[in-house]
Amino acid sequence: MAEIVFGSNTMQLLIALILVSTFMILGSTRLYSCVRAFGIQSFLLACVAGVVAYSTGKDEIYIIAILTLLFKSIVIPYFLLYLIREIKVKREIDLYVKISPSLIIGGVLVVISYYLIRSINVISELSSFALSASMSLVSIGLFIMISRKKAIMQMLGILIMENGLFLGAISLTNGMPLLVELGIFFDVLIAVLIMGILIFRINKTFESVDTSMLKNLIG
Amino acid sequence: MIPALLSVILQIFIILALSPLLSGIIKKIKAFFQIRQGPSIFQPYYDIAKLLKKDSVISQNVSWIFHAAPIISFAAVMTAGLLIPIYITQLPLGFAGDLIAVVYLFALARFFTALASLDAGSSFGGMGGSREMFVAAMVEPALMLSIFAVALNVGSTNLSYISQTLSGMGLDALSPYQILAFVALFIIAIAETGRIPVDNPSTHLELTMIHEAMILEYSGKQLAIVELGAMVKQLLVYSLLANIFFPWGIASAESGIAALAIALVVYIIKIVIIGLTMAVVETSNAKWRLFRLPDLLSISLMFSFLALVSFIIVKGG
Amino acid sequence: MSVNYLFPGIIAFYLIGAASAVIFNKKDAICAYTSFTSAAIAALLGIIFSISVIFGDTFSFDLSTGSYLKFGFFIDRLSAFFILVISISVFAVSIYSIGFVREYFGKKNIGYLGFLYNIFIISMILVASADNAVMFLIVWELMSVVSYFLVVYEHEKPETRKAGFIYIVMTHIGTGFIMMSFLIFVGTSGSFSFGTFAEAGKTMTPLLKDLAFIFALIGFGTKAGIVPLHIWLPYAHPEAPSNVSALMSGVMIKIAIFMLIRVFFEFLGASQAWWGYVVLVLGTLSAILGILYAVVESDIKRMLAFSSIENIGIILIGIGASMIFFASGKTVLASIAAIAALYHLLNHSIFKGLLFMGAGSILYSTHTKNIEELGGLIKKMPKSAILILIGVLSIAALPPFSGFMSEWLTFQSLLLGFNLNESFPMIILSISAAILALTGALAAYCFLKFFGIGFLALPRSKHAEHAKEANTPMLIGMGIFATLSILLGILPFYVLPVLERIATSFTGNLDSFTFGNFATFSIPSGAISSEIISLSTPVILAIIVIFMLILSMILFLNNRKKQPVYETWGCGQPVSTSRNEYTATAFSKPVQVWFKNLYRPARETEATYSTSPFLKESFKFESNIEQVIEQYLYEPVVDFVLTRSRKLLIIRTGSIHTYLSYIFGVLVILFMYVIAGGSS
Repeated sequence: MAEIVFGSNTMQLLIALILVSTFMILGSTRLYSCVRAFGIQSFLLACVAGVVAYSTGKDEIYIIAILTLLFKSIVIPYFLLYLIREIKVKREIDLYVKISPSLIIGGVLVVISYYLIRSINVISELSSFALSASMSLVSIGLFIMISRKKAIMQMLGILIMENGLFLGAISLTNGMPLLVELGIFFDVLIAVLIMGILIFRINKTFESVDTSMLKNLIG
Repeated sequence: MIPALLSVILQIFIILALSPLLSGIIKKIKAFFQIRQGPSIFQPYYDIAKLLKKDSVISQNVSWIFHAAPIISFAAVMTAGLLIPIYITQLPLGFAGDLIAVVYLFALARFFTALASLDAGSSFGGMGGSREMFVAAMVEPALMLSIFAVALNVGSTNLSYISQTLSGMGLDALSPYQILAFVALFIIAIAETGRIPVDNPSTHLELTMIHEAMILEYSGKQLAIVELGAMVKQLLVYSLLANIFFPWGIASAESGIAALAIALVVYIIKIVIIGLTMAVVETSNAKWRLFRLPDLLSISLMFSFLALVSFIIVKGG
Repeated sequence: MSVNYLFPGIIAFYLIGAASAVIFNKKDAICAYTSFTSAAIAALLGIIFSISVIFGDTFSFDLSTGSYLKFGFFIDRLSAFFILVISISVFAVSIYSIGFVREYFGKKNIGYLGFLYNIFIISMILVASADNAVMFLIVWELMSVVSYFLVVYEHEKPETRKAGFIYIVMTHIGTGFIMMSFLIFVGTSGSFSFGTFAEAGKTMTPLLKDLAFIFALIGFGTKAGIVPLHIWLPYAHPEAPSNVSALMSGVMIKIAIFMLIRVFFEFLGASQAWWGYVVLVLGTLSAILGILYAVVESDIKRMLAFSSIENIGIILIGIGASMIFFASGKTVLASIAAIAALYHLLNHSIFKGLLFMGAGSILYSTHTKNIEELGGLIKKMPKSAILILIGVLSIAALPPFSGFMSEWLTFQSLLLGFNLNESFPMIILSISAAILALTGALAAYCFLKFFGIGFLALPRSKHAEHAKEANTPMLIGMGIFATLSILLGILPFYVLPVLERIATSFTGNLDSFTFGNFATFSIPSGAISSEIISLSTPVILAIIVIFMLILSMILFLNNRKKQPVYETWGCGQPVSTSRNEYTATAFSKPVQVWFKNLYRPARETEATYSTSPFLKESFKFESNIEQVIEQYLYEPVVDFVLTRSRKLLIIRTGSIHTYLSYIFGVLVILFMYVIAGGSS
């Protein structure tokens, strides 16, 4: 069943668009664009879940889709935007790695993920696209955490990694049991809240959320 | 079935007739977004007619290159126009060149315009020429990768064959790699036609000019040819976008007059939609600093690379 | 057969040229005429000879004396092609030289130049036709040494001497690697003759094959100018006299490619795909690095030298792709890629020769090769300007000239990689195509700068103001190449069958192209689909010309009155001087900023002022581009070698007794070796 779902054109299209949104985050120097792109990515992920639910007929996946839509695509971006407005940071992100090299590294990561997945014998070749995309998202999320200086971008990086894992889970196992999914959702929500509070505190204490300043904490 | 010569002449006529109209429509849409009236959509026709009646003032420093460049550039662009499917897939002269030949014909046109910009000995010209060639160099890798992505999906770089095959595939033609390649080529189209955020076609500040600075010395009839050439190139670039990625509605050589007329109308609609998208992009962005442009073109390169990689992943191998 | 007499005839005419140079060396003008005309005649014979071998049989004869000194010739289609390339170049360059060396009349010894010139060409022909390793190495060394003397012809200048030194050291390092590669073959086959090497290649162990490949690549790669072995090229080619540079860039580096094809395809059988990948990657790297350094150069000949590195890279891309296809058994695709490479090789020797001859003409009439000091030459040297413009259009790969033809073919052969059905070659070939596209665009940028700043607008210095047109032999030589550039672009259907015969001699498959109406030719694209990809440059040219005629009629039809002439627009300021013009450095600045991590430009400024820091009296600006490979690869190695060698200097004590004791010590050791029953 999984093969039929992931072989269809719509699914390929959605996954390609998810990759596109990831590159929009990589290629942008404006905070608002990154957050918006993340919102779009989560929306697409919800669509993927929806298509899976539609073709497998399992209703619980519908719930997961709606939860993703609600939380990751609406609530969390809204929260992030609120955060950005409140701490009044500069709307441009500072980079350790400039845009053009980061894009190229992103491309290389996609290719590496593809070859990695190919060396594992997956059931069908068509869900290997979804799996490579999920691996790419995880690695690109980690790369974003490494190469951007603002703390908010670190948050975004973790969220992208989580999106990637979600995509991988959906494509491998048609979604995990509902309880596990709900648990993960609440974990993510709490994590975001805690990170948000921490960022508030960092900003209050240091007047900046530039994480390279954390180096000053070394004695 | 229309005879070959008639088809060629008809295509030339359509290209020449529609290019200024497209320019006018885009200006009108931009004006609409900026909540102003804007010039009439037929204004470019009046402008070119006016220029054709005026004298040219020639700088005393120039050589024959200055006089020859507009002619050569325009001829090169029109030649490319005969190789691109507009309303009909089978081009009588389509055997003469493929997509790569079209790209290089545009490069020929650009080369002579940039060369002429250096001829008058002014700094504007040199600046415009060097920036124009710089943008062109940035665009090339992404352009070639997009061409590859399209060509290997279809099996050939021959433009007639590409649009014919894709129009036969129906909605399957909207595969993810096609869409990615389309986005990449759209960004490239912004650069090739000199629109915001790459270049501002209506600026009067020389430090923000690229294309306008190159043609600063031209006036009168020569300026008319140069402007018309730029409009034709814009139409052709949009035609490539329309007929490679959304070729439905295009007529094949055996169709009757009715099918050809429908194909023409469909073509005009597609072009206007692309123009509308371009106007939206222009209005919602500011012109980028020159040295930020490599970043934009890297994004385009990544899209075309993704298109290629997803093609390879999906089609196996 | 008359063919048998042609080959000795060719050599004879070159020898006559060399001899007459020596005989007449006191009388400059006669010397120039005899030695170079003789070379031109020999070149014509060479063209006839090579065409007859390509369409006929291979040619071989043996002049061996005894079993150790074999002096045999073997010319098959591949060698004949290179002799053809040599001959075409020599023909035009020799005619050009008759006019060019007038620059040196009375200042330098023309006989010396004429003599070395002819011997140089003979050595290249012998290299292409040698049939055994020993003879090959002897004539290879001859070629290197003679070209060294040609490079340091103007040895009064210290830069020339330094350039010669770097050249001779690098070429000998290369020769060393070539010897090692050949020794592997000789060791396996037991004979020095090239004919046995192919068999040896089949029976060698994989390790030996890989070693032979690597040594040959490094050895011949040094001569060809592949990155990172290219550092001698930007020194040597500019310092040599321009007609010699035309031959060195146009022909000598191609001989290295010839031997690479020989070794990889015929001796080693191109069996390993990874060899093809290495060649492809090195080619791509050479192409992009070559053109990047060319873009920021203001010295014309150095720019042309870097451009040669770029074009060698393009040729290697074709050969690498061909090797990859061949190793997978797709011989049709391999042929197409090889044909693309050979076509580009031929085109490059012609348009690069034309450009070097053009640089020589510029040097001849303005005595400067700095683009920043030129300008307005199109009015002072109109005929040279048009010919050089044709060269510029060809190298920028613009239709319908020759460069476009070969680059189009290279792109198509890279696209054919999708027949391999494996993802790795598809990705590598696509990346290579993208970088090749960037290279082509940067080449157009670079040569637009050269022609635009050098020839257009107003002269920027006294040198350029006093420029005069080149003399007739120079114009004829350049004209021959310009005509060929155009013809090779619009008449592929004469060229392609010839190239097909040559490529198939080592890739082994016929009937890759089909020719249609209106001079179209089509490539069967193999397994993806049977659809044809076609191109017809004569038709494109015809359409462009028709449009141009129509437009000219429209434009000039209503021009009864004269067009008003006025000053260039400068925002109301007087701009009629050359000080307001764009400079070459400014033109290439965007690319310099884009790739500043590669160039690492160092900038030094110095301002002097008397009353206020805002009113500067004079300003000095110096900008420097590092040669990354030279700085980070070669200089550490050279330092290392030199410091270690200095330590060895303790051996040299200067006293006779120590030296005698060294000899004594070695003798004693040898005696002990014999006593212990060493060799039997």
